Order: sequence, then structure tokens, then C-alpha cells
Amino acid sequence: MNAPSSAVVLGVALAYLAACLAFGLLPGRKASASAEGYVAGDRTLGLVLMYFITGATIFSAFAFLGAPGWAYSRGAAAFYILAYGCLGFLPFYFLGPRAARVGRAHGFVTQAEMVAERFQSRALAGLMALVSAVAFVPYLALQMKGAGYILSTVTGGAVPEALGAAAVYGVVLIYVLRSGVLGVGWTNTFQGVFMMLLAWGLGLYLPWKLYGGVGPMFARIAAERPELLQAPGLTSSGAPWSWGEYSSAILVSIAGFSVWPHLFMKAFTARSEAVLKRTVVLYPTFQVFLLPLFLIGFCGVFFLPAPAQADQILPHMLMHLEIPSLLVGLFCAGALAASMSSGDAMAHATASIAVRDGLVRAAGLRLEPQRERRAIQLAVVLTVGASYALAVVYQGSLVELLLSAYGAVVQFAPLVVATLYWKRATAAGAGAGLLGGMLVTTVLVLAPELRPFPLHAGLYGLLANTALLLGISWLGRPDRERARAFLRLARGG
Amino acid sequence: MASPRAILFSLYVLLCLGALTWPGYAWLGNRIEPFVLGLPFSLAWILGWVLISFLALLAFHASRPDRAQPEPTRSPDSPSGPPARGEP
Repeated sequence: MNAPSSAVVLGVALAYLAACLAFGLLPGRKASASAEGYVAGDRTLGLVLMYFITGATIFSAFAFLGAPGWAYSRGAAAFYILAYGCLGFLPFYFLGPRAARVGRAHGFVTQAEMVAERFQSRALAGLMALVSAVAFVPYLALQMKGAGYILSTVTGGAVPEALGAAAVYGVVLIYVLRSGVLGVGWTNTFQGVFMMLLAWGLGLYLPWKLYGGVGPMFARIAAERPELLQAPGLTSSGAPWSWGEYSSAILVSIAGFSVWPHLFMKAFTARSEAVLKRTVVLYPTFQVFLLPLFLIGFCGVFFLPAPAQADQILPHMLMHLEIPSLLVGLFCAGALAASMSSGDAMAHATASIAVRDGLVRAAGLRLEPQRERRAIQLAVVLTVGASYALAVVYQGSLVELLLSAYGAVVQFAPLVVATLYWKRATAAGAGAGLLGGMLVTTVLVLAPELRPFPLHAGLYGLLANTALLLGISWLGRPDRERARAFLRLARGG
Repeated sequence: MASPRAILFSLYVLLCLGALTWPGYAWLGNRIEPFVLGLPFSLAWILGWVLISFLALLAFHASRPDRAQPEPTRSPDSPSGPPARGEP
């Protein structure tokens, strides 16, 4: 067997990193030197940039390795990812423009700033900042592990994982520090186009090479493993999944997706409300990125030898097939793109949240724009450093940690809706809902047997959260004047 | 208060959710045959709804009532930052 040449693979990957760096450094001098310019790109991002930032942010290392892994091991269970994409961003169509209007008037750049202003609560801002940071650091660590893992696999171990991750995230650090959100935008536009082409190339090439086409591949799976092609598919241990969990996973994803802090911040970076709305309208088209990844996963069903872990199926197949080194190098670059384009937005969002919400809002520190920009840049370095340390030191599964963090962030949803729509909501209600929802979700993620019905843990959390938010707000006294003024602003009146 | 447009779109959202989850998906979409462009019907069903959702969103967006008004865009030569932080 001709093993792909490490030199060619590495050469392609390095050339790709250099290209990303070039794209990322271009726009640095255009944005103003303040924190506003660095974080919100002076609120000037147009539709093309918004589209690809969003697309590339979603298309993470997790999607690139995880989506084929799901299709390979869990079959139709993976379709839930496509299904929630139909309406996944829809809540943002309504929340986004409202947030943008109050954001423009008050100069917000983060979600927690908006909530803190409405409820006049530092504690709420601090809590949201903390939850966001706790959710992002393991996520970023996972992206880094992915990048390091890929470089190490395709070079046959010549580049150790820790070194690979350090090199890739060194590049990310440079362009994020230099250009802020605009650097992220241009780089992600480039990366988004590249990943789309690569995913489709591999998604059609591998079925053709192994089975003679997509049709023959599915015909064989239908004949020999039909359980993989019928929803709700399988669990990770191979047992049948339940309709309740499949359906509730879709509902929770739709409810929670829009309030992810790094996605929600786009409400404050877009040039106009029309751009925001158009991004939501275009969102289902991102599913076109994901389909080929499922095809790749299904390709692996009959592939021998089987990989040690389901998530390794794509690089595993590439290393065991006689494929030109150039193609393996391109795959490597694409997977790095996926890792970087989510990682950069996350690092940037975490740092902005830590400084704006943690230091400025919650701790009450006053910073001049120039110094605030410096502080955010320092926080970017700290975030990337902490994630890198976690990626290198922590050898267990990050997935458990990640799942609880996800569950916690979804709990922002009722609070954000109340902030922008409900005049009776109070700080006590919002805080109780958030804490209660996170507690319920975390307990049920860790002890799934406590659930009365087999539904997604986040759904129970959302129910508890909404009940507490409504109940405690009704008992308390809202600041009616402030609420009325805030909502008038949100409506654009 | 709710316009026909809003009601129609809400109905679509409910229909779509029902078709993507239990019971709609289980009853109507969840079969292997017929194959559509080489894809099993269960996958083609979801992709079909992705396409329909895109068209529905497009129609919803295109028919928005405030369409004729000019968009509140920040002009490039206006002062770049919003009011200083801390102001109400």
C-alpha cells in the first residue's frame, strides 16, 4: 500500500495556514482602534461576510469528524442534525433585529450586556459570562485536539498532537489579535468556500471509489444494515434510539441555537437588520455543507479494518485507501479550516464576554476604549492558552463536559426572549429561571435515569426555566418604566 | 392583531416540526424505499423539508410589511461608535 507522503501532506497544510494568515491580516487596519471596532467590527459586516462567518462557525471540527462518525455508527440518528437546520436559526429572525436596535442605542457588543441593562443586574451579567466561558473553553479545547489529532494522523505521528495544535492555534491567535472580528470574517469566507468544495469532493469521491456511486452504496446498506437508514437510528452503543429523544433533541436545538453567545453577538455586528434577517433566511442552505459529510460516514459502514473510534472514520479511510497525497493534504487543510473557523470565533467571543461582561459590567471596572481593546486581546491570549492547556493536559473525554456546557447555554433562551419581549419579567425571575434550568439539565445529563420520560435533558431544563421565570416574575415587581422604554427601543419605536 | 401572513407562517412552522419529528416523520417519511437520487427516502424526506423551509422563509421575508421603507443603515461617514457606554 502506498502510504500518503508526509512531506506533501504537510506542505499542503502549511500552505493553507499561510493563506489563512494572509486573508486574516488584510482587514486589520480598517476597523477603528476601539473595543467597538475590535469586537463589533464597527457594525459594518455585510451579507456575504455574515453568511460565511455563520457558515464557517457552525462547520466546526466537531462537524467535520463528528457528523461522519454519527452517520457511520448511529445511522439515521444523524439526520436530526439536518432536521434542526430547517428551522434552527428561525428564532433569530425575531430576536436578532430587536437586539440590534437596543444594541445600537446602548452600544452593546455581547448578549449579557443587553440582559444586564434591561434588568439592571450585574449578577446576571456575571453569571452569563461565567457560563459562556465554562461552555467555550472545553469546546475550544476540543477544536484544538481535533486539529492536533489530524496533523498527527496524516503525518504518521511525525508531528505530535500538541505541536500540531500549537502551530494551528498560533496562526489563529495572530489573525484574531491583529484584526478582531473583521479578520475572523475574511478568513472564514475563504475557509467556508474551501470546506464546501472539499466536503462535496470527498462526499462524492469516496462512495464512487468504494461502491461505484452513492446509489449503490445506499442499496447495499439497505440490503445488509437497513436499521441504519430508518429514523430514529441507533444510540452510540448500537441500541435503537427512541423517538422521544430524537424529536426532543431537534426541539431543544432549535430553541437554543440562536442564543449561543458567539452567534447571538452577530446581532450587534451586522450592518443592518435586513442583513440579519437575510442570514436567517439563507440558513437552511448551510445544510448543503453537511450532506456530503453524512455520505462519507455511510461510506465507512462496510469499511475494513474498522476504526478504533467512530469519529476517526474519515481520516481512517483516507489513510487506508490508495489516495493521492495531494488529496489527503487538502483534506487535512479542510479539517484544520473547520477547527480554526469555529475556534477563532469562540476565542474572540469568550474574550469579549470575559472583559465586557465580567470586568466591565459585573465587576464595575471602567476602561477607556483603547485599554478595553487591549484587555480583550489579553483575554484572547488567556482563553487560547487555557484551552490549549486543557487540550494537552486533560486526557479523558471532553464530551461529557461539553454536553453539560451545551445544556447550560441553551438555558439562556427563555431569558433572552423575556428580555426582548416581556415587560413583566424581573431580574429575580430571570436569574431563578437560568439557575434552575441549568441545575435540572446538568443533573439529568449526569443521571439520565431520573428522567420521567426519555426526552432530551435540555427540554426538562427549559420547562423548569420557563416556569421559574414566569412564576417568580409574576410574584415580583418589575421596573415598569425601564421595561417600557427598553421594549419601545426594541420595537424600533 | 396577528396578520394572515403571521398565521400562515406559524402554521407552516408547526407543520414542518411535525413532519421532521414524531409523529409525521415516523408515519410518512421514515422508509428506505423509494430511493430518491440514490438517497434513501428517510434522508430525502429531511432534505425535502430543508428545501421547503428555505422557500417558506424566503416567502415570509419577501412579504414583510415594512419592505418599502428604507433600511436604517449606518452611513460610513457618521461617527463610528454608538453613545459612550454607561449612558442610559
